[in-house]
Amino acid sequence: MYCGNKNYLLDLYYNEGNNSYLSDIKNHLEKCENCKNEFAKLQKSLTVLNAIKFEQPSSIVLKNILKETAISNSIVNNEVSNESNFLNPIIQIVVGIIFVSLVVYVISIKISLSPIWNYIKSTWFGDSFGSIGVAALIVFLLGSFVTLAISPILFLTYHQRKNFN
Amino acid sequence: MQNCTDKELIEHINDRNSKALSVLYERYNLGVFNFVLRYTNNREIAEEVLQETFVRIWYASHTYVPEKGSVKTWVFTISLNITRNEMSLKRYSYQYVEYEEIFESENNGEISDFSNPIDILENIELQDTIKYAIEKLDPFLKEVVLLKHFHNLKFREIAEITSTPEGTLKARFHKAINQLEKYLKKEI
Repeated sequence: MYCGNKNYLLDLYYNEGNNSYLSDIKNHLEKCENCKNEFAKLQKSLTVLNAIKFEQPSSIVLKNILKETAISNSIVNNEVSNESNFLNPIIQIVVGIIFVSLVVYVISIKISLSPIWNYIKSTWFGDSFGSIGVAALIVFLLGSFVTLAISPILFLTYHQRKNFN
Repeated sequence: MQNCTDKELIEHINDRNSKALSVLYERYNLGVFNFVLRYTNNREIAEEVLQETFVRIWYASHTYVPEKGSVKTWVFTISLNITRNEMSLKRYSYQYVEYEEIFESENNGEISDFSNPIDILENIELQDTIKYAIEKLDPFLKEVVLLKHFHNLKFREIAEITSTPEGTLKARFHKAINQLEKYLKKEI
Protein backbone atom coordinates (compact mmCIF):
# COMPACT_ATOMS: atom_id res chain seq x y z
CA MET A 1 0.00 0.00 0.00
CA TYR A 2 2.74 2.47 0.93
CA CYS A 3 5.68 1.07 -1.05
CA GLY A 4 6.65 3.12 -4.08
CA ASN A 5 5.05 6.27 -2.71
CA LYS A 6 7.44 8.37 -0.68
CA ASN A 7 4.88 11.00 0.27
CA TYR A 8 3.67 9.14 3.31
CA LEU A 9 7.23 9.23 4.70
CA LEU A 10 6.97 13.01 4.78
CA ASP A 11 3.66 12.79 6.62
CA LEU A 12 5.29 10.55 9.21
CA TYR A 13 8.40 12.72 9.60
CA TYR A 14 6.40 15.91 10.01
CA ASN A 15 3.62 14.22 11.95
CA GLU A 16 0.90 15.30 9.53
CA GLY A 17 -2.27 13.30 9.59
CA ASN A 18 -4.49 11.60 12.15
CA ASN A 19 -3.22 9.04 14.64
CA SER A 20 -4.58 5.95 12.87
CA TYR A 21 -2.96 7.02 9.58
CA LEU A 22 0.39 7.61 11.27
CA SER A 23 0.27 4.34 13.22
CA ASP A 24 -0.56 2.49 9.97
CA ILE A 25 2.59 3.95 8.44
CA LYS A 26 4.65 2.97 11.48
CA ASN A 27 3.31 -0.59 11.29
CA HIS A 28 4.20 -0.72 7.63
CA LEU A 29 7.76 0.47 8.28
CA GLU A 30 8.23 -2.29 10.83
CA LYS A 31 7.40 -4.87 8.19
CA CYS A 32 9.01 -3.28 5.12
CA GLU A 33 12.80 -3.01 5.13
CA ASN A 34 12.96 -0.85 1.99
CA CYS A 35 10.59 1.78 3.33
CA LYS A 36 12.35 1.71 6.69
CA ASN A 37 15.68 2.45 4.99
CA GLU A 38 14.10 5.19 2.90
CA PHE A 39 12.71 6.80 6.04
CA ALA A 40 16.07 6.60 7.80
CA LYS A 41 17.72 8.24 4.80
CA LEU A 42 15.14 11.01 4.76
CA GLN A 43 15.60 11.61 8.48
CA LYS A 44 19.37 11.98 8.06
CA SER A 45 19.02 14.39 5.16
CA LEU A 46 16.54 16.57 6.97
CA THR A 47 18.59 16.54 10.17
CA VAL A 48 21.52 18.04 8.30
CA LEU A 49 19.30 20.93 7.19
CA ASN A 50 18.71 21.78 10.85
CA ALA A 51 22.28 23.11 10.98
CA ILE A 52 20.96 26.39 9.63
CA LYS A 53 20.23 28.84 12.41
CA PHE A 54 17.73 31.66 12.25
CA GLU A 55 19.17 35.16 11.93
CA GLN A 56 17.78 38.38 13.42
CA PRO A 57 16.65 41.23 11.16
CA SER A 58 17.90 44.74 11.89
CA SER A 59 15.91 46.71 14.48
CA ILE A 60 15.55 49.52 11.92
CA VAL A 61 12.96 47.44 10.09
CA LEU A 62 10.42 47.68 12.90
CA LYS A 63 11.16 51.40 13.34
CA ASN A 64 10.50 51.99 9.66
CA ILE A 65 7.25 50.03 9.81
CA LEU A 66 6.05 51.99 12.85
CA LYS A 67 7.06 55.24 11.17
CA GLU A 68 4.86 54.29 8.22
CA THR A 69 1.93 53.44 10.50
CA ALA A 70 2.39 56.72 12.40
CA ILE A 71 2.17 58.70 9.14
CA SER A 72 -1.00 56.92 8.09
CA ASN A 73 -2.47 57.36 11.59
CA SER A 74 -1.75 61.09 11.58
CA ILE A 75 -3.47 61.46 8.21
CA VAL A 76 -6.49 59.53 9.44
CA ASN A 77 -6.63 61.57 12.66
CA ASN A 78 -6.41 64.79 10.71
CA GLU A 79 -9.27 63.68 8.52
CA VAL A 80 -11.36 62.75 11.53
CA SER A 81 -10.65 66.05 13.28
CA ASN A 82 -11.30 67.94 10.06
CA GLU A 83 -14.65 66.20 9.74
CA SER A 84 -15.60 66.99 13.31
CA ASN A 85 -14.37 70.60 13.33
CA PHE A 86 -15.76 71.73 10.04
CA LEU A 87 -19.42 72.29 9.34
CA ASN A 88 -21.09 70.61 6.41
CA PRO A 89 -20.55 72.27 2.99
CA ILE A 90 -23.93 74.09 2.74
CA ILE A 91 -23.48 75.73 6.13
CA GLN A 92 -19.88 76.56 5.17
CA ILE A 93 -21.11 78.40 2.04
CA VAL A 94 -23.82 80.29 3.95
CA VAL A 95 -21.37 81.25 6.72
CA GLY A 96 -18.86 82.30 4.06
CA ILE A 97 -21.35 84.55 2.26
CA ILE A 98 -22.44 86.18 5.53
CA PHE A 99 -18.81 86.66 6.55
CA VAL A 100 -17.75 88.19 3.21
CA SER A 101 -20.85 90.45 3.18
CA LEU A 102 -20.03 91.68 6.68
CA VAL A 103 -16.41 92.37 5.72
CA VAL A 104 -17.54 94.25 2.59
CA TYR A 105 -20.07 96.22 4.64
CA VAL A 106 -17.56 97.12 7.38
CA ILE A 107 -14.85 98.09 4.87
CA SER A 108 -17.35 100.18 2.86
CA ILE A 109 -18.34 102.11 6.00
CA LYS A 110 -14.71 102.64 6.95
CA ILE A 111 -13.87 103.76 3.40
CA SER A 112 -16.79 106.17 3.27
CA LEU A 113 -15.57 107.73 6.53
CA SER A 114 -11.94 107.99 5.64
CA PRO A 115 -10.38 110.99 3.91
CA ILE A 116 -8.89 108.66 1.27
CA TRP A 117 -12.40 107.69 0.26
CA ASN A 118 -13.25 111.32 -0.28
CA TYR A 119 -10.31 111.56 -2.65
CA ILE A 120 -11.27 108.34 -4.48
CA LYS A 121 -14.89 109.47 -4.67
CA SER A 122 -13.81 112.60 -6.50
CA THR A 123 -12.27 110.47 -9.30
CA TRP A 124 -14.12 108.39 -11.93
CA PHE A 125 -13.04 105.19 -10.12
CA GLY A 126 -15.04 105.93 -6.99
CA ASP A 127 -18.02 107.14 -8.94
CA SER A 128 -18.33 104.01 -11.02
CA PHE A 129 -17.94 101.50 -8.17
CA GLY A 130 -19.24 103.24 -5.13
CA SER A 131 -18.01 102.39 -1.63
CA ILE A 132 -19.46 98.88 -1.63
CA GLY A 133 -17.92 98.14 -5.01
CA VAL A 134 -14.45 99.20 -3.90
CA ALA A 135 -14.78 97.21 -0.68
CA ALA A 136 -15.82 94.12 -2.67
CA LEU A 137 -12.83 94.61 -4.98
CA ILE A 138 -10.47 94.83 -2.00
CA VAL A 139 -11.95 91.66 -0.48
CA PHE A 140 -11.68 89.85 -3.83
CA LEU A 141 -8.02 90.86 -4.24
CA LEU A 142 -7.19 89.88 -0.67
CA GLY A 143 -8.99 86.53 -1.12
CA SER A 144 -7.03 85.81 -4.31
CA PHE A 145 -3.79 86.64 -2.55
CA VAL A 146 -4.53 84.35 0.39
CA THR A 147 -5.63 81.50 -1.91
CA LEU A 148 -2.44 81.76 -3.94
CA ALA A 149 -0.37 81.91 -0.78
CA ILE A 150 -1.82 78.71 0.68
CA SER A 151 -2.11 76.81 -2.63
CA PRO A 152 1.19 74.89 -2.17
CA ILE A 153 -0.09 73.64 1.20
CA LEU A 154 -3.41 72.58 -0.34
CA PHE A 155 -1.55 70.82 -3.16
CA LEU A 156 0.69 68.87 -0.80
CA THR A 157 -2.18 67.89 1.47
CA TYR A 158 -4.16 66.61 -1.52
CA HIS A 159 -1.28 64.43 -2.71
CA GLN A 160 -0.61 63.12 0.77
CA ARG A 161 -4.24 62.02 1.07
CA LYS A 162 -4.21 60.55 -2.42
CA ASN A 163 -1.15 58.43 -1.59
CA PHE A 164 -2.73 57.28 1.64
CA ASN A 165 -5.92 56.18 -0.11
CA MET B 1 -2.15 42.70 23.64
CA GLN B 2 0.52 39.99 24.05
CA ASN B 3 -2.17 37.45 24.91
CA CYS B 4 -4.30 38.22 21.88
CA THR B 5 -4.69 35.58 19.19
CA ASP B 6 -3.42 36.36 15.70
CA LYS B 7 -6.97 37.00 14.50
CA GLU B 8 -7.62 39.43 17.34
CA LEU B 9 -4.40 41.24 16.49
CA ILE B 10 -5.57 41.63 12.89
CA GLU B 11 -8.84 43.14 14.18
CA HIS B 12 -6.85 45.61 16.31
CA ILE B 13 -4.65 46.45 13.32
CA ASN B 14 -7.83 47.07 11.38
CA ASP B 15 -8.69 49.65 14.06
CA ARG B 16 -5.31 51.32 13.34
CA ASN B 17 -3.62 50.04 16.48
CA SER B 18 0.13 50.08 15.81
CA LYS B 19 0.87 48.25 19.07
CA ALA B 20 -0.99 45.24 17.64
CA LEU B 21 1.18 45.42 14.55
CA SER B 22 4.30 45.41 16.75
CA VAL B 23 3.07 42.29 18.54
CA LEU B 24 2.32 40.55 15.24
CA TYR B 25 5.77 41.60 14.05
CA GLU B 26 7.36 40.05 17.15
CA ARG B 27 5.60 36.78 16.34
CA TYR B 28 6.46 36.53 12.67
CA ASN B 29 9.48 38.70 11.92
CA LEU B 30 11.98 35.88 12.41
CA GLY B 31 9.98 33.48 10.27
CA VAL B 32 9.38 35.90 7.42
CA PHE B 33 12.89 37.33 7.52
CA ASN B 34 14.63 33.96 7.49
CA PHE B 35 12.31 32.60 4.84
CA VAL B 36 13.15 35.48 2.51
CA LEU B 37 16.81 35.45 3.53
CA ARG B 38 17.17 31.79 2.57
CA TYR B 39 15.09 32.32 -0.55
CA THR B 40 17.15 35.24 -1.82
CA ASN B 41 20.39 34.80 0.15
CA ASN B 42 20.45 38.58 0.37
CA ARG B 43 20.05 40.31 3.72
CA GLU B 44 19.15 43.66 2.23
CA ILE B 45 16.32 42.24 0.14
CA ALA B 46 15.13 40.15 3.08
CA GLU B 47 14.83 43.26 5.27
CA GLU B 48 13.07 45.19 2.50
CA VAL B 49 10.58 42.36 1.99
CA LEU B 50 10.03 42.03 5.74
CA GLN B 51 9.26 45.74 6.00
CA GLU B 52 7.02 45.70 2.94
CA THR B 53 5.14 42.65 4.26
CA PHE B 54 4.19 44.36 7.51
CA VAL B 55 3.35 47.66 5.83
CA ARG B 56 1.00 45.73 3.54
CA ILE B 57 -0.51 43.95 6.54
CA TRP B 58 -1.16 47.39 8.04
CA TYR B 59 -2.88 48.75 4.96
CA ALA B 60 -4.60 45.54 3.87
CA SER B 61 -5.69 44.12 7.23
CA HIS B 62 -9.33 44.52 6.18
CA THR B 63 -8.77 42.03 3.33
CA TYR B 64 -7.89 39.16 5.66
CA VAL B 65 -10.60 36.51 5.64
CA PRO B 66 -10.30 34.07 8.59
CA GLU B 67 -12.27 31.38 6.74
CA LYS B 68 -9.62 31.24 4.02
CA GLY B 69 -6.78 30.32 6.36
CA SER B 70 -4.67 31.22 9.35
CA VAL B 71 -2.94 34.55 9.85
CA LYS B 72 0.41 32.76 9.57
CA THR B 73 -0.55 31.45 6.12
CA TRP B 74 -1.72 34.94 5.11
CA VAL B 75 1.51 36.57 6.30
CA PHE B 76 3.65 34.06 4.41
CA THR B 77 1.48 34.45 1.30
CA ILE B 78 2.12 38.20 1.34
CA SER B 79 5.85 37.78 1.87
CA LEU B 80 6.12 35.11 -0.84
CA ASN B 81 4.29 37.32 -3.34
CA ILE B 82 6.56 40.27 -2.57
CA THR B 83 9.65 38.05 -2.77
CA ARG B 84 8.56 36.60 -6.12
CA ASN B 85 7.99 40.13 -7.40
CA GLU B 86 11.40 41.26 -6.18
CA MET B 87 13.12 38.27 -7.70
CA SER B 88 11.33 38.71 -11.00
CA LEU B 89 13.07 42.06 -11.39
CA LYS B 90 16.03 41.84 -13.70
CA ARG B 91 18.54 42.97 -11.09
CA TYR B 92 17.89 39.84 -9.00
CA SER B 93 17.62 37.16 -11.65
CA TYR B 94 17.56 33.52 -10.55
CA GLN B 95 20.68 31.47 -11.02
CA TYR B 96 20.24 27.78 -10.44
CA VAL B 97 21.49 24.59 -11.97
CA GLU B 98 20.16 21.08 -12.23
CA TYR B 99 22.48 19.18 -9.92
CA GLU B 100 21.27 15.85 -11.19
CA GLU B 101 22.93 16.56 -14.50
CA ILE B 102 26.22 17.51 -12.87
CA PHE B 103 26.49 14.82 -10.24
CA GLU B 104 25.12 11.88 -12.15
CA SER B 105 28.05 12.20 -14.46
CA GLU B 106 30.57 12.65 -11.62
CA ASN B 107 29.19 10.17 -9.12
CA ASN B 108 27.20 7.76 -11.29
CA GLY B 109 24.08 8.98 -9.52
CA GLU B 110 24.92 7.22 -6.26
CA ILE B 111 23.93 8.79 -2.99
CA SER B 112 25.93 8.01 0.13
CA ASP B 113 24.57 8.56 3.64
CA PHE B 114 25.72 11.29 6.00
CA SER B 115 28.06 9.52 8.38
CA ASN B 116 28.05 11.69 11.50
CA PRO B 117 25.35 14.37 11.59
CA ILE B 118 26.27 15.66 15.06
CA ASP B 119 29.84 16.48 14.00
CA ILE B 120 28.54 18.03 10.84
CA LEU B 121 26.05 20.23 12.69
CA GLU B 122 28.86 21.81 14.66
CA ASN B 123 30.70 22.82 11.57
CA ILE B 124 29.98 26.40 10.67
CA GLU B 125 31.18 25.89 7.14
CA LEU B 126 28.42 23.39 6.65
CA GLN B 127 25.86 26.11 7.31
CA ASP B 128 27.26 28.16 4.48
CA THR B 129 27.31 25.12 2.25
CA ILE B 130 23.68 24.35 3.00
CA LYS B 131 22.70 27.98 2.47
CA TYR B 132 24.49 27.98 -0.83
CA ALA B 133 22.88 24.69 -1.84
CA ILE B 134 19.42 26.01 -0.96
CA GLU B 135 20.10 29.20 -2.87
CA LYS B 136 20.89 27.20 -5.98
CA LEU B 137 17.64 25.26 -5.90
CA ASP B 138 14.92 25.96 -8.41
CA PRO B 139 12.60 28.61 -6.82
CA PHE B 140 9.61 26.25 -6.69
CA LEU B 141 11.67 23.60 -4.91
CA LYS B 142 13.18 26.17 -2.60
CA GLU B 143 9.77 27.53 -1.56
CA VAL B 144 8.44 24.19 -0.43
CA VAL B 145 11.60 23.20 1.48
CA LEU B 146 11.80 26.53 3.28
CA LEU B 147 8.13 26.73 4.18
CA LYS B 148 7.88 23.09 5.20
CA HIS B 149 11.13 22.36 6.97
CA PHE B 150 12.12 25.70 8.41
CA HIS B 151 8.74 27.20 9.15
CA ASN B 152 6.71 24.12 10.07
CA LEU B 153 3.81 24.89 7.81
CA LYS B 154 1.56 21.98 6.87
CA PHE B 155 1.51 20.88 3.24
CA ARG B 156 -2.13 21.97 3.16
CA GLU B 157 -1.09 25.48 4.20
CA ILE B 158 1.77 25.61 1.69
CA ALA B 159 -0.73 24.52 -0.95
CA GLU B 160 -2.85 27.59 -0.05
CA ILE B 161 0.15 29.91 -0.09
CA THR B 162 1.55 28.72 -3.40
CA SER B 163 -1.75 27.70 -5.05
CA THR B 164 -0.26 24.29 -5.81
CA PRO B 165 -1.72 20.80 -5.15
CA GLU B 166 -0.34 18.97 -2.11
CA GLY B 167 0.86 16.01 -4.18
CA THR B 168 2.91 18.29 -6.41
CA LEU B 169 4.40 19.98 -3.36
CA LYS B 170 5.46 16.65 -1.85
CA ALA B 171 7.03 15.56 -5.14
CA ARG B 172 8.89 18.89 -5.28
CA PHE B 173 10.02 18.41 -1.69
CA HIS B 174 11.54 15.01 -2.49
CA LYS B 175 13.22 16.40 -5.57
CA ALA B 176 14.66 19.29 -3.57
CA ILE B 177 15.97 16.99 -0.85
CA ASN B 178 17.61 14.75 -3.47
CA GLN B 179 19.32 17.73 -5.06
CA LEU B 180 20.50 19.08 -1.73
CA GLU B 181 21.73 15.66 -0.69
CA LYS B 182 23.78 15.26 -3.85
CA TYR B 183 25.28 18.70 -3.52
CA LEU B 184 26.13 18.29 0.14
CA LYS B 185 27.73 14.88 -0.39
CA LYS B 186 30.14 16.45 -2.79
CA GLU B 187 30.96 19.38 -0.53
CA ILE B 188 31.34 17.52 2.77
